Amino acid sequence: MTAAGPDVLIVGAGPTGLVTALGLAQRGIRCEIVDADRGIATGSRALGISRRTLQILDTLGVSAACLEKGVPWVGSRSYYRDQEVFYLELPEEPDEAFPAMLNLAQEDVVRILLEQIDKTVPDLVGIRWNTRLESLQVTADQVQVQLDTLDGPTKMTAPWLVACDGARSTVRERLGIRLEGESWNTRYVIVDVRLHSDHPAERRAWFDPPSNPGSTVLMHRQPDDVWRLDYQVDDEEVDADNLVSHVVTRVREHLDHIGETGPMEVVWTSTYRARALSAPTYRHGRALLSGDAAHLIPIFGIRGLNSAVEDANNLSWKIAAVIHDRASDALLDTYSTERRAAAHTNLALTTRATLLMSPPTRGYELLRRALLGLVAEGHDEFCPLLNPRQTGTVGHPDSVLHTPSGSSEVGPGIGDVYPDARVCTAEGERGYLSSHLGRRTTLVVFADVPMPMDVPFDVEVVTITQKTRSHLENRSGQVLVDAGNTYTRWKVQPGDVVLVRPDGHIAGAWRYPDATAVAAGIARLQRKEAP
Amino acid sequence: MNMTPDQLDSVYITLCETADSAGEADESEFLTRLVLLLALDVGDPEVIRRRINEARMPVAARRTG
Ligand SMILES: Cc1cc2nc3c(=O)[nH]c(=O)nc-3n(C[C@H](O)[C@H](O)[C@H](O)COP(=O)(O)OP(=O)(O)OC[C@H]3O[C@@H](n4cnc5c(N)ncnc54)[C@H](O)[C@@H]3O)c2cc1C
Repeated sequence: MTAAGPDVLIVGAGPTGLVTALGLAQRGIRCEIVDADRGIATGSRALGISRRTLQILDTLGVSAACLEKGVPWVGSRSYYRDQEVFYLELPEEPDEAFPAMLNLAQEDVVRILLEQIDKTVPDLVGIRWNTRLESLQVTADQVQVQLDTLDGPTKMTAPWLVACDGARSTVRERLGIRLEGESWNTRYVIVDVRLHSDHPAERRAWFDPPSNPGSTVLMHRQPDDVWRLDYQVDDEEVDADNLVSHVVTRVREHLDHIGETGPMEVVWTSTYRARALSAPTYRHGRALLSGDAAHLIPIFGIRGLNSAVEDANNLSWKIAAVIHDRASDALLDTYSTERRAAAHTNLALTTRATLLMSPPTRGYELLRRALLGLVAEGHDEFCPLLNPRQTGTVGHPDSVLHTPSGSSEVGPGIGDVYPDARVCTAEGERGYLSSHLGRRTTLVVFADVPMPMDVPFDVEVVTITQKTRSHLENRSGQVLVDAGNTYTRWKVQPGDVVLVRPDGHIAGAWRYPDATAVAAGIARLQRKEAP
Repeated sequence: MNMTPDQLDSVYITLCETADSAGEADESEFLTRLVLLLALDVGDPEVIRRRINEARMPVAARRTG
């Protein structure tokens, strides 16, 4: 806690709040986190951590701890009744620093983030447990909140507030912001069981299995011999009181059926209904909504926590830039527009996964039966329809912060996340680009020859050469040597310059640009007039 | 069949939605009309016969009652 009071008040110490706090603290911003709970929330929640999330966690210094604990997986297997009908294996990607998917329990992610705060920025981030936000007033120059603590009510003010208080966000409700979208009635029971099994880590989905006729079961390996089962329950079938015990019996049957006859112990159960909802805007003056407080994404696409981390990654550099007076506060409007558009795409993808898991109507049911039957008979042409499409991150193609590429197609897509690649440092150390990008605004200069780019910009410069670095000795900034397919993956040639945002998205790309064009691109990114 | 996964997906969803809006009573007729229209597009009786054969339900999968 700091005497001067925080620059940013963060409501909620879940993954969104903690990633936001670390991102802000790294940029020298003081935050105070309040959470209604006594400490870390436990129980079966997010499990699948995407490559994009790992890249972001890497910029916060915690990717190694996550990789050490988590279980990577690449395969996805679908069964119809008794038969395996579809297997999808993600290809090996030597150019990527991180696995496509890692199973790691949300409580482990949260614990790792908290440890990192304690270890690296304890003087910048304060955390108060047992502190519930009750109400708030947002004015032109600050946010005042009323908090309920063990010692009674208290007040706090801060120039900015980020609501990371989850699905039932008090902030969202007090601001009168309503979620919009769809909900479904189908119930799922989420069961975590301890079970020793040699089955590899992969996603398994059973449609209409003998153990749960007419419904769907999902199964995932977690660390420490724990398995996650998502079990769809027909609504009429069981009443709420008996739901869990009913499902536990069925889980045993299911395990027996797939040959897992060893002893199992239930470690956690909860029930879930899919909702696909988003707030119409994520900014309310000096208050911003992030993570589940802003949108609820059905769990079957594995995009809830992952998109929440991307929200935080989008927001923290923008708030920091505004507080440091390096950008106008219009920059924060782009947080809302960019992340709302991303939520829209994430909702569309996960809604598809949900409709396949539990067809809501007769038409969907009919088509799914036909589809699974045809695939089971060998019509692989229909397999793409069974692809859960859980990997892949969503770009911001239409952001006002970006300089459109015009007719020349230089570089990766504008608005996309930069492609990772293998590089060598000047000292000859092998590594990945992801250790260098996605932290500060960075100009990536692709050059085998020195270019007249020595105009002083207030950004990092990373030069990537395909040859040796000797002839680039006098360049400012860092020089990296391509050690793989950087030029191909980035779709660039010598003479290209790419502007990468602090959150890793591409803001502009030019071929042999003059300094004014690049300066205009940077000004646009900071929502400032070009000098 | 050169549809992209996205195109295939959108066809699938359109079929789900249209089957729903046809309603239970008219569902078979809607699907049969669709088959007849698509048969005109295919235009090759051999291909149509082969697909009819493939589409016949395997005995084991038939629903009884
Ligand atoms: C069964 C299940 C499985 C899931 N699986 C996945 C998955 O595999 N992959 C994935 O990406 N996502 C998954 N999700 C989604 C994921 O869990 C959420 O998206 C994620 O928890 C969002 O994080 P958050 O920090 O925004 O909210 P939360 O984790 O809900 O944190 C909110 C915090 O705010 C606090 N709080 C609430 N109200 C107040 C208040 N008034 N004052 C102070 N503090 C308050 C709470 O105590 C809590 O600590 C799953 C969810 C469920 C339920």
